[in-house]
Amino acid sequence: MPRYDVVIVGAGVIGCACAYYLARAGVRVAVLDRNQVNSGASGRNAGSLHFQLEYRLIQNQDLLDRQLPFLLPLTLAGIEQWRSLPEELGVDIGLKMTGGLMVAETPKQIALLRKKSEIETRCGLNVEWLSGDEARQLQPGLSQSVQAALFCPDEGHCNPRLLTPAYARQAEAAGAKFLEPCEVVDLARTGGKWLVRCRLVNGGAEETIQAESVVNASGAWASELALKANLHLPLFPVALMMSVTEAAPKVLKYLVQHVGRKLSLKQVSDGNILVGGGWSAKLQTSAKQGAGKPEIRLDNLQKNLAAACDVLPAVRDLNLIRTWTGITGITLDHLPVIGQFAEAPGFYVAAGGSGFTYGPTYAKLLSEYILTNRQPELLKPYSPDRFSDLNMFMGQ
Amino acid sequence: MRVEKGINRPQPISITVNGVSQQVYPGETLATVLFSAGLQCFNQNRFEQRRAPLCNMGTCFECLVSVKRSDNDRPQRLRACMTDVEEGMVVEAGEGFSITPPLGDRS
Repeated sequence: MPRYDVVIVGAGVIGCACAYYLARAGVRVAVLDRNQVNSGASGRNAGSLHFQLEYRLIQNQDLLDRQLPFLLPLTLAGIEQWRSLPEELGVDIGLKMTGGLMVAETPKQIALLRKKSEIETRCGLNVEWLSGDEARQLQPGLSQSVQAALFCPDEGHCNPRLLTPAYARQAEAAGAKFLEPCEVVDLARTGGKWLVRCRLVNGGAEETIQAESVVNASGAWASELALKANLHLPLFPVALMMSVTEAAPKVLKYLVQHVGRKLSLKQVSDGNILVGGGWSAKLQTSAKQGAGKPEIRLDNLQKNLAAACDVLPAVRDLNLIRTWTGITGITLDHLPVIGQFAEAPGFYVAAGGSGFTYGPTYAKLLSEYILTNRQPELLKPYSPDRFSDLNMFMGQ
Repeated sequence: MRVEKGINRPQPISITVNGVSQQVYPGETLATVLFSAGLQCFNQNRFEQRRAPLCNMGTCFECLVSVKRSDNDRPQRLRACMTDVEEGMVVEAGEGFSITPPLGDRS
């Protein structure tokens, strides 16, 4: 029977990065994925690196109070890690950290932006208040409708098609073993060891792998995998749409987001403008879990593109060349769930939250947790223990 | 050049291609019309390379041409392979047509 220290299920950014940080520390790691490296949300999101507070946090005081003490150190750790990644991974990952603007168009949005700015300044995040004219001076081409903006110099974007494969290659070079496409059939803990029963997709034979620990890095499907270990994990799939225009002359220097509308805009080095912001596609309920391809919702696409044209009118002149979907996962409280289950020692999870912006950081912190068997301070708000009521009659 | 023998076509309509009026048939795409007019290069890309239709199914965007629905219309850059001809269309295409989007200040 193959034996590893850690079996990671899910070869997205968190799984591959975690494999890299663990393998580099001399841990024997196997990564399983029922599709391929980077085939899920990690490779399908719009690649924003957003460090300003998210709209959903500003709207929820309780959530904010709980998270705020941890947010700045996590954000600073994330920013520092991103800046070091191209050198550490040794390849081009399309990283640009030239800054990001969050814009407001109405008095109500300005008030929200003001509140956000006060919270961020209080907790020490580097943001600068700009009037509409100042914002247009910084980023020519922004619409006259932009009345104010918050600028964060550390924001930017990274190419989601390059990041995770770069991590995977480095993990492999450090000794991690990748098994794909390989699906987990069952997870059980006996005699203090985890037995991972898995099967190569496309008709392979079943095999059992022994591991000291298992990392559930299966993104939107993390609850499905948790159930195989007899655990409930309240994380729900959400299908989102992203779009890209044809290549255009350089017009957009910064990541642009909106405080009151779902919108993210960025221009990649080849000139294409990526349009996202969290507009939903239709999840296919009839499809087998993990396999269903969401359906593009034209009504939402139109709203997404309208927001883009309102904020950056030059987008109107561009051809849209592709819209695609990806499935991410959210928890009941919108915070990520990262840590070890009290009901199943050695069973770790890292899923939910802003999985691209913070994926490398979540993975690094989780690998520290596994290496030291001590919960890093920064992960305290995200422990799966907050859902332990659900697991009173579950576990290993 | 079109197949004539044994084909019944509707009444032709006229469009303008690079300033020259052309008799074309409803149901034809601009790509068909441009090919039959002998055009081999449809546009120049942003690297000033000459391009022509590659996929003929809307994916590659190599066949972009400039189209106005009428003389006074704002020009749009459309895929010739996915655009059916319409009476009165004004088309710019060929080596002189650059597909680089003209991004003016529209704020």
